[in-house]
Amino acid sequence: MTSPRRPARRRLFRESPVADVDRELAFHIDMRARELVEQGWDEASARSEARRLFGDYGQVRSECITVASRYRRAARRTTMLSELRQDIGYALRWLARERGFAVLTIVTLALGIGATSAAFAIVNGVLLAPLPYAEPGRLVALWERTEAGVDNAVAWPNYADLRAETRTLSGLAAYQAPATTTVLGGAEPVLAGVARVTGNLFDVLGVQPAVGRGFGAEERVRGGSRTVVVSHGFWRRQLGATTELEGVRLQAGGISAPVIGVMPPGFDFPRGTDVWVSLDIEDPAGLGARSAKNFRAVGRLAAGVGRDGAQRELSGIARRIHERVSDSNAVAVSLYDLREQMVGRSRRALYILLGASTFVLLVACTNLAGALLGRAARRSRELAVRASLGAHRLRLVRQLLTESVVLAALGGLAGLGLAGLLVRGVTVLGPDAVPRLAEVRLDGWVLAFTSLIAMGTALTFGTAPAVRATAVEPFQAMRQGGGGTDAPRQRRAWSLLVATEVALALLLLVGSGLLMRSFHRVTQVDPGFDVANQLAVAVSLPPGKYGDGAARARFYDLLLERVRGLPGVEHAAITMTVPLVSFDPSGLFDIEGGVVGDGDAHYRVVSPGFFATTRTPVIRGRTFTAADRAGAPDVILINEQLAERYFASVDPIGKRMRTGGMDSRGFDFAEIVGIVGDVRFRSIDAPPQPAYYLTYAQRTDRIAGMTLLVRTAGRPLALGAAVRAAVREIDSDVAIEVATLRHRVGEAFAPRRFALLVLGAFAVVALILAAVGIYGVVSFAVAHRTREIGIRVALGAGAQRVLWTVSRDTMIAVAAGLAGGLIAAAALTRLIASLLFQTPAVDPLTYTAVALLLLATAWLAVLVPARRATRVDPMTALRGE
Amino acid sequence: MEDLIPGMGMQLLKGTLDTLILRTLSWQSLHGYGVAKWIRDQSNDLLKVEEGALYPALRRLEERGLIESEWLVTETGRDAKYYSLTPAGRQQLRKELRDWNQYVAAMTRVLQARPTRS
Repeated sequence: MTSPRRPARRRLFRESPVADVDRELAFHIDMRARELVEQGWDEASARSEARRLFGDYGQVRSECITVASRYRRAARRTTMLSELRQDIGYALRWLARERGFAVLTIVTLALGIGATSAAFAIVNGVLLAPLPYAEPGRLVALWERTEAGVDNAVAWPNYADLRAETRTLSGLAAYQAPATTTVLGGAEPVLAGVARVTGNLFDVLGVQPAVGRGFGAEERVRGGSRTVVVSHGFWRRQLGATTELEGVRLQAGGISAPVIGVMPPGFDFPRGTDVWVSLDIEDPAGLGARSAKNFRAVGRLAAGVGRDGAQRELSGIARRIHERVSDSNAVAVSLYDLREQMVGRSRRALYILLGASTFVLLVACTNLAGALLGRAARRSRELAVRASLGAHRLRLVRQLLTESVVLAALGGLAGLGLAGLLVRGVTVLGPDAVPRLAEVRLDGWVLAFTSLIAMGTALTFGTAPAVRATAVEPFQAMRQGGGGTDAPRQRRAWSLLVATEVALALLLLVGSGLLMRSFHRVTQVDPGFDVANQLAVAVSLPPGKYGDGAARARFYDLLLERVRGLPGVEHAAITMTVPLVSFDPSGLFDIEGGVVGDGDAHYRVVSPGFFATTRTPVIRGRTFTAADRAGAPDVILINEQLAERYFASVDPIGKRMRTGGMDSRGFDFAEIVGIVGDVRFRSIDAPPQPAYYLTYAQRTDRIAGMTLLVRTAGRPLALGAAVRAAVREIDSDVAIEVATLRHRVGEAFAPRRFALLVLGAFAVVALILAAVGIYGVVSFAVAHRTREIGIRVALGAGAQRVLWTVSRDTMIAVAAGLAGGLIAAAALTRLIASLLFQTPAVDPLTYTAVALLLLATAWLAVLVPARRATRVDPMTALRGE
Repeated sequence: MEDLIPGMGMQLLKGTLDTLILRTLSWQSLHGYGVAKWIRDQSNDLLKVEEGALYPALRRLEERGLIESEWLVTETGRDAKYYSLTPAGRQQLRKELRDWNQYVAAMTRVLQARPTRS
């Protein structure tokens, strides 16, 4: 056999398996035929003999092609895998070598990815994830709608009628938000959220108790058995997670009831409930008249019924009730998707959160791109050597990209850990601010999201530096002695990066600056009452002992007398509702001579001394006195809003108003004896609404749960023990909860504080990242231009001159970034306008302050490395390579 | 090789073609035609491989990583696909030779044994 040689010119791409096989087989036939010719065959018959000897040509060919194709695919995979392993190994070794660079980059990425992943986890868990109930898409929240198109909570009689008549809902449940009550019978006496719900609530939501049973037939009839169902958390904490519920009883509000069931973990409807009690066993007369909008309602659409269809049917029912009875002002109902109702109001804030975190990520990415550019420049020599040794450019790009991907993967991993911490922090910090926060998890969706942005980041911000780095001519790069190129193109890239991150950081800073201003403004608002130096004591009278209104009134009389006698007490009063804390109920009224139920205002039941305690001004007339007792002529106070809106031209004092609906007394006339100042009751940033005040002595129906307000000379909490003792002396069965009013009201600021905190944190992170980025760019420039600086110094350039040389480009970029950022901020802050309070979206003070802050930070970040340049020793610099 | 080899009536045992190919390539790199010719020459035409059957066998051996291929130029200037043994192929061949020798020895012993009186 003769020895073969390699072809002079190798094919760039391998042939397809088909061509490969065809050529090989043709070669065989040729050679065989030639052999036969040598043996004396003639050309033509030699060829056919060769074919005959070969056998089934077609069969062989197709078999060969099959195997060859399979082999080719497998081989390609193996090559790719081995190259990938090589690249990853190379990247890891490189990162281990450049540990500082690696740590900085990974931390930077972790901050960006962590913030974004946490924000996504929250958005996903709160806004996007379905509610944890059976077929949640069919759950609707139901509201009554008045002629004026206002949505109200639902009155019990209306609820009962709607529930009885509807065919479009397969179930309709009513409930009240949980009331904080002292609960005994567990491991220790605790304050727990006790919610009154209709017995069918769990059925409507489609959630079954995890242990025991839900409310059955015996709990769903008037006068039925009094039992409770508890939350999983309460069961674990207070009942030792016993599955043997037999004999376990709880006492709440003086009533003892057996525990029949435990809801599954995470079930929290209505929000904050530990103990559920059935409403159905109560006397409907005590649940309020048609004008008392005491209940929330949730329904389940029947199979095949849409929300619009159900709304039409239920509105028809409401309209018929309205026409039948005079005291129902509900002419229609509104149905909302339950999830939408629960989280809809948080949507904008959460999307802003996501947007802000994206900015943080972008700043992090800009830093990454800068770092990668720097790295590529430092390594241009190494790359050039590899290229000249025959490494394909595509292969080099791929390797650099692999490095970015490895970086991003590590950053993503760290980011995921950070996101876990952030999510936990937020769920601890913000439960009052955002609904459903407890449901937020780092689940598969978040994992997918994190991987996606990590890889996206690596590819988006790694490609350009990789392509650029490998574009260097080997010869040129090697001659430059490791310094790489510092062409204008490269400088422009640096400048663009600096400008971008300055602009992004500015946007975030402006956003959080505006929120901070708003927060400050909000705290400056006069809510119409003085929060300071007040003790707020929630009092809950056990219904058994205090079933009678007179008994309730007597208790409070005694309590007020005792508390007012305590040393250090300036004023004391009781009130049904606490401004900025309690739900502010509304009721109908009309002015004598007007249309019945014409007016609609908030009502508040208070005791004499209330306005002195809260320091709410009395504008005209008098306030309640001890003489306004049951049996005495009914009196009423109105606030300025009500006076303005309903008594535009006449003096309200001495006029009579008919109010009612909130209790069994129905509509009664009362004389207006005074006008008091407006109080911001619902929220600090919403204007005050018309309201009227009634005295507890004349409205004893709904005063089982009241709050005692005590104005003190010194620290309010110092009086806590004395007040507690006073209550115990009167009746030790009465549960109370002591806190300062400031603490209670503070909770009203929670959503705003939450937004401020989160956006503020993001802004600070962005600022730090931008500073680090600028620092890096200038450091690089200084290290890179040592030689040039040396020459300049040698030629007599002063320190100022050198400083300017190395920082000029960066400072110009910073200025450009500031300008761009300010313009973008003016356009984008409109998105957060709804979160702002008495602060224009384009607030000159905020914009200026933020720009100055950023400028100062950038200057510092430039100055520190730039000063290194001024210390360059010309001799060393010039001698160096 | 299920078919009878024309003229000679000698059947190639299943799997032995692979061994023959590996053995052939253990001397030198060869193209498919060369392998066929070598086997023919060495067996004095006793083992006549149906020539086409060689190629799928070569492809499978390549797929199993026992041989590798490369397009080279023959001395007469033609492109041909040359096969050579890989280290794995060499090891496989050693194993097959050992097995074959044991097989032949066992067969021989049995075929030449005479019954002994008990």
